Amino acid sequence: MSKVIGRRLLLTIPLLFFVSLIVFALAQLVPGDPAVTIAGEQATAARIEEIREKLGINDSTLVQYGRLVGGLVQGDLGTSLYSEQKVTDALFTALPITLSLAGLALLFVIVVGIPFGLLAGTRPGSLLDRILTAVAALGVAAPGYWVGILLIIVFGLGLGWFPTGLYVPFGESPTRWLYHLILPAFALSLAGIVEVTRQLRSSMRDAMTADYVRTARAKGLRQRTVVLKHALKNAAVPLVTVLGLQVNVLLGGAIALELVFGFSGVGALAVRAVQNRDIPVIQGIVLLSVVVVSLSNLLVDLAYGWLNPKVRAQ
Amino acid sequence: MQHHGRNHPDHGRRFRRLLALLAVLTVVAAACGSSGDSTEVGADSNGSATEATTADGAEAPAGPAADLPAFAEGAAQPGGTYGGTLRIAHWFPPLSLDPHTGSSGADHQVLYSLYDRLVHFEYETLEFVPGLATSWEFPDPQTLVLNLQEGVVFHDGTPFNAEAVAFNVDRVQNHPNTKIPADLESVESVEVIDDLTVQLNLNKPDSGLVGVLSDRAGMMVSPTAAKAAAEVQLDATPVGTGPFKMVEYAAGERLLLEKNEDYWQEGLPYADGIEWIFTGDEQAGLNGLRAGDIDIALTVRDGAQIQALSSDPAVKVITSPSLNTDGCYINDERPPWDDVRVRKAFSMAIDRKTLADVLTFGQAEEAYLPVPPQHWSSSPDMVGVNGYDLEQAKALLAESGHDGMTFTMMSYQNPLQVRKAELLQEAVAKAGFNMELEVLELAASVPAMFTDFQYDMFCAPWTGRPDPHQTVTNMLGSTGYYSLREGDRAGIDALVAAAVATDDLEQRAAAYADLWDVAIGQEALWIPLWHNSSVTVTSDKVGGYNLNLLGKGQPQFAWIEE
Repeated sequence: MSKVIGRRLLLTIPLLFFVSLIVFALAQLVPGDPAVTIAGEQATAARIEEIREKLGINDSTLVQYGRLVGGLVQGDLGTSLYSEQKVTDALFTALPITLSLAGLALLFVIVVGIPFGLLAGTRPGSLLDRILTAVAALGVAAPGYWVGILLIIVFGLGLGWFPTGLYVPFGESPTRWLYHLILPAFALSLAGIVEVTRQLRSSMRDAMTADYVRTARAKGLRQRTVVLKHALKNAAVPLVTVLGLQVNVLLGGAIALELVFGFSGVGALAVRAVQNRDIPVIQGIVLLSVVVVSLSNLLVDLAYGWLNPKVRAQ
Repeated sequence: MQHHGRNHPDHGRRFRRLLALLAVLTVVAAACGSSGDSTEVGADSNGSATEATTADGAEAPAGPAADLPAFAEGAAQPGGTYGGTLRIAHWFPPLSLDPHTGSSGADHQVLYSLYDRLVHFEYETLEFVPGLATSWEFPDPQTLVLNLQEGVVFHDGTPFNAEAVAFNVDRVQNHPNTKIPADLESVESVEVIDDLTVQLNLNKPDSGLVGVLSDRAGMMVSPTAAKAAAEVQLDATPVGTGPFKMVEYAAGERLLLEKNEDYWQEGLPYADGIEWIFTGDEQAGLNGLRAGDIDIALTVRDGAQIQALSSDPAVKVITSPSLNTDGCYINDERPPWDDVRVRKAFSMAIDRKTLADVLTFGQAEEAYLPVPPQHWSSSPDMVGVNGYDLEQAKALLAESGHDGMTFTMMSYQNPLQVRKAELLQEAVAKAGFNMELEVLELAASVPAMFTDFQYDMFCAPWTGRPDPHQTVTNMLGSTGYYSLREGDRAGIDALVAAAVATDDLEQRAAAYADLWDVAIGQEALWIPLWHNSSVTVTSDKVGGYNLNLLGKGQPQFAWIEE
């Protein structure tokens, strides 16, 4: 098992280099001169040249890419063009916010989506199933940020039950942290809940008509045992795929919701960096995304192995 | 017997991963694309999306705004309540807390709580009043003597004195990362006369220097801290003499300040602390305000939003006229724009009042100058000059022989800016201009116009400067970044210099009247469109919040009632 993990982690490295190459190439294509921007409106030509020298823009493209990779190897993503803040510091300030949001949303997806899927899948055609299917269709159609705005209007401004956003660090107050996260995390999780419900419903329907379920029933096992122990474990393989994908979708969706709720997470950082053309920060965010997506894919694959011995053998 | 379903794990997994990555990137892109409306750049930004400005939104009805208290900053106000923490939402996080190495116009409102300036100003008129300098005089036009406040200490205990001023002047001029060296370019040398007197020797008459010292260049940082800081920058470790000191800072997210108990101004500040919350989006701050999680939401720019909030009894909408003025920069070195008749025809083709009404929900004020009528350097004679007159515009353009001419105006990604450009396009077409529109990404726009001279015209808000000298040298003088001229024109450089040859405000105002007449009236080198106002929304419990004509509000002396 550890060999598999090791090999997968090693495979992430060439991927990172590949992505860094693409990001670097894109940055080269962006018109304009960062030195002019940094120097400011009062700068002399000599000053701009000095900054170009300092940033290494005068070096050949190959040397510049080499510098990026060299920094990458040492875990150094460079410094923001606008403040002297290290990109890694900026990411570490922003990341807990995004992870809190996406993490809580994932929890919602699991604790709401799985029971819904089980209920609908074990009683196909029932009233409950039909209601859940209808709600699911709505959920798929409604984008998270739009739901977020509705939640703010209804539960934040209208009823006043929840704060309308503004992140509170966990270290300051865990209860307020949770309280402030509930609305955005719920808005973010909605599409995931629907996805998980639909996926689990369909695979549970298949599983419930399978031979081994009939056998289990024939043995006189309770419905509960049949569903949770036999059917669910088999139906869970596609579910894990969906959950793995959800991690990525949640991290992406968190960006839009961060803006709606005024959280200064990775999303807000990304938007600001793009608007300012702060290339080192943009590079850092893209590379961080690659790492997070790779890790979540790795976890999904490990879960397959755990659920399915045949995959393990491969 | 085991049934694995149709989704064998290896099937299409790679493809899905790719899809997932694409999903992430798409959302990033979507988020970026849609956020244009939350960013405003002043044309005086250096292309870094920095000079985030105040309203493109609304303008108070003519005359001083009812909510604007008639105080100079720093004066304790009757009825203030002590205690509590002000929670302030700011949609644009500061890029740096170092006043000399940062350049973002959106940073000021945060910097004011941390740093005092040598010179402060009256809120309504921007006339200069004592700050860390108790008084100043020009014994001759090339010498400025500053007398300093006694007994002031920086947050780290370093005494504020003439040596500290000399250190700061040097830092502004020579720090390797200074963004504002030109602000003090007229200062040749600094002499410490005694502990509380400092003399600036100038290389040319420059009475505009006083105003400059009310801006970034006059913000005094602790010499001890500046020498000790990593890279000698105070981006994240600000140490000034201001009413608040830093407690904790998560860059881009939150800044916690506590009251400076040793503050030199009697009875100030009122609040025990300030919690700055950087939201990245103005709507989030307003939501927090209405939900009671925020006391002050800075700089609201959405006209529709302002209208809606005005009817909410739980909030106060504070509006003030500001220096922020929309106008058009013309590349007048390039034919046919070198012909003054073409420039005037363009100006006269624009019905400023109607366009401003449509764009800002009827609240902006038509402009004929780069400074608003409330400012001391404004000239009433200029009202209506080169104003809307379609027949005259057509006639002038025909006379110049360029009827039907095609040119490109550049604008930047922002719904309001693009809308403005489209309305202008329609308006000037009636006079015979065939205007093509190119929309650039925000950060690319300013360098494309002013560094690479790629376009004929760029219409954008000018955020203004405390002293008009900074505005006119930038915008009209032959060396200014935002002036597109290679050399002097019509003796404008001399007129610019004449306006700072004396420190008498009346004489200066008269000199500016001459300059406006030539540069804006006769030469039409910059086409003023309309004056914007700045708007801040607070809860009904906040008192003493000061917006000012500069458009950069000062929350540091506000208080919370109860």
